[in-house]
Amino acid sequence: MNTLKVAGITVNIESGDKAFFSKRYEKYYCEHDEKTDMTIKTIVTGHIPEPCGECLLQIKRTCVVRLSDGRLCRYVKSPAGSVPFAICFNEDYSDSVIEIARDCPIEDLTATDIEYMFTGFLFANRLTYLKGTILHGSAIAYHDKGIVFSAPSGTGKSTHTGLWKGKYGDDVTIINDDKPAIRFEDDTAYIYGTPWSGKTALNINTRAALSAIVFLERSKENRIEQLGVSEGVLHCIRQLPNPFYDKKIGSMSIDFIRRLYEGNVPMYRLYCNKSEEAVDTVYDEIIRGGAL
Amino acid sequence: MKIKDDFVKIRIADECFVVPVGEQAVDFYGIITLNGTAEFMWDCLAEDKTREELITAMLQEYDIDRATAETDIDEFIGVLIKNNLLDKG
Repeated sequence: MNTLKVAGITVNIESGDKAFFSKRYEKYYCEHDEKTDMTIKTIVTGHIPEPCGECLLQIKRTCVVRLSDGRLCRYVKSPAGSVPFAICFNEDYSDSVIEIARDCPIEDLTATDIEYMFTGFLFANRLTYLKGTILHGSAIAYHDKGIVFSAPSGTGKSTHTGLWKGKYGDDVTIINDDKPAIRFEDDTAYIYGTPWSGKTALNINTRAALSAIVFLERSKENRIEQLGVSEGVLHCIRQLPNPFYDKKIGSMSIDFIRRLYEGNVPMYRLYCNKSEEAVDTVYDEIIRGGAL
Repeated sequence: MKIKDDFVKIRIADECFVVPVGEQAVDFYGIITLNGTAEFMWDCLAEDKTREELITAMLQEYDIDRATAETDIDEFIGVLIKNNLLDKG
């Protein structure tokens, strides 16, 4: 069992694919702490028996049951009846076990992919309980000012922050390319790096004050506008944790949006293409314009 | 009738919204904006109420006549039904 410190959260973690995750987690290892915020244990096994318990809900092939010890278990059942993975967790996600069948026959995902995906989800849920969040997006710091560029997968978040890095070099740090954490300290929101950064390993263990959230939308032309409250709420909730199996997490995410507004974090929509002009459009509005 | 409990009300800067959570977030891809009267009716329907009980509550809260209350309520209930927001249980 190793100990990580991610966004100030102490995570005791036992990995299944130790070679892969020792590299992924290396920037976040810390000394074992008496105080542990969450524990995640991954077991890669030959066969997973179908979990027994009270069925709480089922959507397509995903089932959620309450086990006899009170924990919840989310698992997938393949058409052939086997269980490729099962995730058991207590109500506040402080203690979780991920079981993965070694020859995991689920789409094109490997056991390591499953472990990476669900350790990230479990961390996001636990962080939400601890009054933080994970915002799906690519986060940068321009000097000490943080901006998260958020959008549905495939829109071009990484491409856009790559353009910032290309233009401003060492003045820009990519904090996390897919799942940055956000937490408040006093009344200030901060972006934190996490080891879960999507397809790339672009993340660092640092933080920056969150100065703006920018939602990207592909367009031929580059244009930016500040969002009104209703559009900001709508865009945010689509990119914050709101799992189908736990409405409490969704409620907490909604409360986090309220805190972002109370903390005066401005939200924008950027219509953008893949040119450097898209970066200039944001720079002119948010940085030169004085929002930062 | 009662509104599904998979919606959370949030108030920001004098604006009121309802956001889907849990299973509802899978099917209902948006948020609902409520004005003052709609918010009142929404809050009333957080618990099981008949149309008549809702009318009584409206008449106690607002200085309106019964016909206006009925029109507002029927319109509101129509929106709830159209968007599948009422608990079938």
